[in-house]
Amino acid sequence: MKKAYLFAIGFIALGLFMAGRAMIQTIVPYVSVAEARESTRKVQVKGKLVAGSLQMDAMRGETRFLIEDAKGDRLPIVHPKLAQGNVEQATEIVAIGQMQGKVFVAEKILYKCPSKYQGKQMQEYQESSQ
Amino acid sequence: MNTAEWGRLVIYLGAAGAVAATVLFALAAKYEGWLVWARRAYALAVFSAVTAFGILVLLCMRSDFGVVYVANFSSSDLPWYYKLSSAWAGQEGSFLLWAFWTAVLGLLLIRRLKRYEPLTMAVYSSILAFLMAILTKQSPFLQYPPSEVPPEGMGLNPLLQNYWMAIHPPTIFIGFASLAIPFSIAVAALLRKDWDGWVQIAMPFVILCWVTLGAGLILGGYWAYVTLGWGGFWGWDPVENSSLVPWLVITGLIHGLVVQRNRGGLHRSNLLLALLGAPLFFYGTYMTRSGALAESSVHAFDALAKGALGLVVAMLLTYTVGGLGLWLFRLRSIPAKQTAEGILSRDLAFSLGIISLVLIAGLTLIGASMPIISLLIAKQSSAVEVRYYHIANAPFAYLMLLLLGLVPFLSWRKVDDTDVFLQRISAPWYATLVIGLAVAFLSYFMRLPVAVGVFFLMLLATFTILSNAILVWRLAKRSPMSMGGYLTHIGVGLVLLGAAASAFYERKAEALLTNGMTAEMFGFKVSYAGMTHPDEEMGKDNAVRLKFESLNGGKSFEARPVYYFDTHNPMQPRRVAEPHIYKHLLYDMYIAIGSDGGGVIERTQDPGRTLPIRRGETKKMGEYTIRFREFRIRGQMGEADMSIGAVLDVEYKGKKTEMVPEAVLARGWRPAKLPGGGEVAIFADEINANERQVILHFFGMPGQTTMPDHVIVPVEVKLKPLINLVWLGTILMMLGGGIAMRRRFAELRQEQQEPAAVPAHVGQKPKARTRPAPGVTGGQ
Repeated sequence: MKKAYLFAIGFIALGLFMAGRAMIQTIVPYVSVAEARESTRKVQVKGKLVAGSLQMDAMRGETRFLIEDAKGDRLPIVHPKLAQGNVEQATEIVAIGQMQGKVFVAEKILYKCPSKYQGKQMQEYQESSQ
Repeated sequence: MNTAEWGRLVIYLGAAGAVAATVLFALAAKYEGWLVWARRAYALAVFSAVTAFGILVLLCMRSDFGVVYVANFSSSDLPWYYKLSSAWAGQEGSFLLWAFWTAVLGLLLIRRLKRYEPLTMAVYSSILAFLMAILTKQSPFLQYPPSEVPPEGMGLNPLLQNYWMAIHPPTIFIGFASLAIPFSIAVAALLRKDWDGWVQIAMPFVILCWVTLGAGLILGGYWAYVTLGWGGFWGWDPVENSSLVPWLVITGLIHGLVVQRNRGGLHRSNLLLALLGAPLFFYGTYMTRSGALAESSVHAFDALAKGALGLVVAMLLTYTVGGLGLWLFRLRSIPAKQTAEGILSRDLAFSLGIISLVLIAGLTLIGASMPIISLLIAKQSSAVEVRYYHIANAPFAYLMLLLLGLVPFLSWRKVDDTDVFLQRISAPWYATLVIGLAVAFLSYFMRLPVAVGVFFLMLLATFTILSNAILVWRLAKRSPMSMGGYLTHIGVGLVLLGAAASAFYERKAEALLTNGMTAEMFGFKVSYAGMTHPDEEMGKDNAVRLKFESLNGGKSFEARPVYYFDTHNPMQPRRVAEPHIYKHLLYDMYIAIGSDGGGVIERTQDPGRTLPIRRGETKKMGEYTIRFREFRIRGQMGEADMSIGAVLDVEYKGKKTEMVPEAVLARGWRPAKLPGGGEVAIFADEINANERQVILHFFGMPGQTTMPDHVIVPVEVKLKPLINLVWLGTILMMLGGGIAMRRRFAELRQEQQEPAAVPAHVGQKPKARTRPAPGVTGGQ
């Protein structure tokens, strides 16, 4: 009887320990552009699309653009696939990825578009990921 | 008074009725005379909720665009069933649906409660009161002033125009509404200090909740798979998690109640689990509708109005603090009986299973709440990646599968003879080993990727399927009503097996197709064959035709992934893309346009939307007068990011602006936005340097209604092996749940018809109807 409980408690403790490690490994903080530039790990950075900077490269299958955060800091972003939908109309973009040299390589981008329900405070997100 | 005004009035009436019912039922617990009045008040609340819902449906069916909600989520060109489903497509409508089901389920509940009626219904009515109050703050019946009534609605989001999406919300909201039932009964039990009597009443309703919530989750997953185009059915999105977590808790509760009925234990944890379901969903509602998670979710959220959000928070706090507080207050008087008697006993297996389920629920909840938790702790918001859920939940999912495989051969208390037990499990165990070895060899020779974790998961799932199948086979003849649980467990094994195989062994191929180009994918020659309705207006069900010709003598077919523009808002046409799924018994071929289902790149030769123009020329295009002033070259010749811009002076409604669409070498481009919507672009391969001419392409302009005739289509094909096991598994789960629900409702009816036969101490006495583990007695 005791053994059964010890086994169960041991297993659960081990499982929770692994879950804790998973949490530490997979957590991705939201950061500002300045923090993103200095970062060495995966982060998510949010900002406005700089008007006119969007570039869809069909041959390389890349989306490139600049974002500007609330402090006016700008960051060049490369998303290694053609983004879907109306990125150009995005009011806000969240890029999830890592710095590679001077550009931010986003494995996933989320973008908030002014909704078709204009006049109402509705927003929606679209997603593009690798 | 017009219809919508009646709707508003009826909502207030319902709120008043539910509040009155709460008070009167509570009074009736002490003074029985009030019970009649309490029931009348509840009937008024039900009548109001049903009428309000009926009015909203009527308004949607009538396309009454004077009502803001209807104008926002419906349009007159929808078929009747989508007009109907626009009644729950929006925020307000979904709350009304929730209130509607809560009210209606109460009618089913009240007939079965007997002595539990006053206290249970008091709690239950209070939840309905909260919902109706939220609807007074966030009303679906707001109207436009007569002068501002729009002539046409915005239409239902095209992604929601899907058969599965039409039935998913009504189903899952039965589940959400029914979470209030175990909660209310448990509160009544705690107040009455009746630790066993509540179990038999709650049991069938808890299973009802499990089945409807589960069916809702499945329908939602299937909808995501067939429409969203990213290729999966579960994304660990906050909205999905907020339904999954209570569902897992309810799953644990069902098993706890089974133990309590058979062995008379787990009193404390069962009450706790019953009290957790509803508040967990209230928390999920808060999380997904407050905008708190807006950054990390892709679901469309319109944040609730302040007053309504305040009520959601009040509801969350009231029932969390109230429920847990009452439980803690009574904790010492709730009996704590030890049940588990040995490692090889059902008692221990059930307890471990419940713990696994609750831990998976908890870890999922923590992951989903991370943006809020990290903000509170670290002052910096963070979110977890999807793989967190896989890594963190895996050990407990493995344990759960192992238990599911063992349980059919375990009996309550403990196994007396270990040898007999080992003999019994040997058949499925060896079969699993053989299958495992075969898969391992096959993977080796086919050079398939191998991952120990996935392999282990598939092995355990196979074991679960086999050992439960053996038992179902035996029970099918002898007592089909008792095989519900085992059937469900086969389903769980199949779902996990199919999910692991289809995700891990998925193969992907991509190609850019255009007229006359072909690509080879998975033994097929793929070519683009135009649109299904090339001459139709945009916004009609257009699809891309892709010919798949078999290269090895197999069947050829034409895939038609949907791709068109929704133009209900003419200023902002929106792309709609849905995948085409080619079904095979052993795999699905998942054919999507572009990454994540979007992104046909339109280039047209249509004179209505292209304008060849030379440097120095001035031409007219619709309402625009355009002068092409000069070229502007940026970057170095020969470099990939060198760009050539055309500097344009554009005059629109008397206003002049300069804009510079640019072509980037390697055929990228940067369009320029036109005033009045739409944009203009140029392409590198169409620049004629000798003639100093470019071709201007106009996109998304108001009034532009036909599909482009020249397209580049990015095609993405995924081969997903064994995905059909997932769907088969979900069907078995629901079938098993349905059988168990029928059995428990029948038992409850029978017990209530012969009250004398059941003494007060239900839990202490194993009842005649309860069998010992059928697997063990299988030899009889």
